[in-house]
Amino acid sequence: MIDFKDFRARFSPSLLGLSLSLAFALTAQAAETLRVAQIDPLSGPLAPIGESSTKHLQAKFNDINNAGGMNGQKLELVAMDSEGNPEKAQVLLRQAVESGIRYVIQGTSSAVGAALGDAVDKYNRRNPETPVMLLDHTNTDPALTGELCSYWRFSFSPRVTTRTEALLRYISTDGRAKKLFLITPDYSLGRAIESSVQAALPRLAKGVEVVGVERVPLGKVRDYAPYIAKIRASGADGVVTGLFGGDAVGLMKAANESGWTGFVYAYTAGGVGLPTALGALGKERLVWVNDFMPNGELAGDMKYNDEMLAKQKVDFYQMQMIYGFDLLAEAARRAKSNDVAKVAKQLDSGVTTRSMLGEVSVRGDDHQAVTPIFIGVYSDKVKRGLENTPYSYRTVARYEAKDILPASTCKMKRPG
Amino acid sequence: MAELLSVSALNGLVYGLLLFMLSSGMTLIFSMMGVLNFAHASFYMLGAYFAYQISTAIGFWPALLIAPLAVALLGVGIERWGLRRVHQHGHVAELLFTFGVALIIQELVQIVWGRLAKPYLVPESLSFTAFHLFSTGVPAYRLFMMVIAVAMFVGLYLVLVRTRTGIIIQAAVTHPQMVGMLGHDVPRIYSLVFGLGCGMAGLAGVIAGNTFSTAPDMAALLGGIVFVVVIVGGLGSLTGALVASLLIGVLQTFLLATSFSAVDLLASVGWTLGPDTPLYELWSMKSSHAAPLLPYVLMVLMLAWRPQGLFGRRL
Repeated sequence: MIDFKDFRARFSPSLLGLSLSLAFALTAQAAETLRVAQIDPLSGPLAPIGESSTKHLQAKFNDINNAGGMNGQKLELVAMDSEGNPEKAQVLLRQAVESGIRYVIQGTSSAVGAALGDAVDKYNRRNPETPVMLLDHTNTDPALTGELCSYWRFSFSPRVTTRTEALLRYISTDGRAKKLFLITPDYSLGRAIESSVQAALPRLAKGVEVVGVERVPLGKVRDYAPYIAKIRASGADGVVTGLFGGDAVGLMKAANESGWTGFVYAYTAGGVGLPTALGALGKERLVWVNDFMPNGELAGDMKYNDEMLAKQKVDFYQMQMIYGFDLLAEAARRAKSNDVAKVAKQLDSGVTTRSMLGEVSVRGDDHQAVTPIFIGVYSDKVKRGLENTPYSYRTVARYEAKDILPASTCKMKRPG
Repeated sequence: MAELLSVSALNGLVYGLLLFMLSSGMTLIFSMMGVLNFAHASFYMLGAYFAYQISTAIGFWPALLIAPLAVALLGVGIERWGLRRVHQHGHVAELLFTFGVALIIQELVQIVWGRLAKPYLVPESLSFTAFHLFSTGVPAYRLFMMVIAVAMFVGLYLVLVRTRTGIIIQAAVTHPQMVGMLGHDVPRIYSLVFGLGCGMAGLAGVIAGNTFSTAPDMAALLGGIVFVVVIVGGLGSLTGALVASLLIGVLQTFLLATSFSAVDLLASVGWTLGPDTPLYELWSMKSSHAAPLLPYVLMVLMLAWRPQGLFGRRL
């Protein structure tokens, strides 16, 4: 048995002292800086992506702070490790909110994004005086701005449906792939890609058909050769994939080994670490659809990449951190306050600003950032390679948001 | 169709042989020492990382020799200064010890080589297409993997059956005291066997790391399935491990290559299931989605009906 009386007598004073001083430190800090909690996987297989997000956020925060901060208030990043687990992320959210943080940013997993959205909505209903805003940097599931949309979610990165619009237009104009095989991860992202491609194909790419569909347990496949055998058997000359990280590499490796020469169209395959793992695999055959192409000719600021490399030791991949916070800062400037309720109101009425990509805006209907989409081909014919390889993405097309952004399906519940 | 069948058979064979290289070491260690080595797949991972490091410095062929030896030496060290001390506290302690070793190796690999996959590549001299099965290219390296695996099986078999060391090892499995009485250093034989088993896992890592991927999750991916192979084949049986590996490899690859569900099968005999049938999600599951489950289903069935496995002795 533990003697609780004794325990309390021994430990209580120091604990109390500690928590008092902590609380003191927190309030003192809060007056000076605006803390933003990043809840992302910082350990486990997705950690490289989470870490890259931290570095991109830190770089953008430094820029904002050097320019005087948001409404004069400096931004401070508090990185928290969700391990990619929705339950853990919700616990971290509670911790962040209890310590006074009102801005939370998350990406990398739409499943975690949905769990946090739900938790933030509940919290804000119970605490209408001190609402929390959820910034969504790289989730791509359209449900998050569709049936699960929330007044308190501000989404940076374009959704799967928008990417599909751009990709199918490119496939149609390019004309080299006629038979597509869809191979996607076995969760909401995969379902979103499948349904959006199937729905948009007859409208956007006549003469192009889907010859096979396969879902893969993400991160569990050692050898993609069996899948490639299946893809070959289907007669496909193009693969549309939502695989990323090691899975994307495995797919490219197996395709290359078997001598399959079709194209691989990737929604999410362009992330950090890929050029290192791929090397020459997929050269001129891997096609990426994204809101930004590193080292692209149509967009991209080489000077910024130099700064990222020098200060954060990572290539510049995540444009959404730039335009996302440019939009947030603009909304805060118009609101003349960093108060979440006032900033959200500005976002809700639509905000437009200039960013590295040119003019960007946020759509009031579903609080989705509106940006162009780029198509890039993995290639060594680029100004400079990524991650000390000769390879990067050669931009081959740019689609403006007004042409490709589908109408909002969000039935927004606005407070009050 | 013929192309898909033949390519799948070949892929299944390669995967099965790789599983065998992994599980043979584990089954050897178990039959000798009664130790279920949780860290076995970690040695496989170390083999791949060692080979990556060595091959960037002095090339693949030296790595093929040095990396498994290095892993084997590490295995000997772990047995000599770790496992042997724990042995006296019984099997649970041993199990926990190897579990701990697995965690430590996992973390160390991440600290030393980072969390990203390493660009460990197939050597130039083997990265060509050996022949075409219909139109599908078969890389020479896959054939090389098969040759290495078969050579390892034959080599191991000959050592165990034909050499003096092998006979002593076999004797030590069943009658360790007697072997000790005859003047053989039984603990040293244990170290040797543990090292040999780890080295074989290391060799599997060397030849699989470049064709699949060399990343910190490679141990976790294969860790479970190695147990399945050993149990289905029969604990301690080398032949069993070979048969079970090939069985699982080929079955799993064929399931991946198909896409039918229970609903389709029943529909072809005239029994239609609709979305309101109880457990419709389960019945409409595609065979390719069920493939990763197959080894575990096989293991459960085997444990229920033939606990000693295909070729195992009743324990």
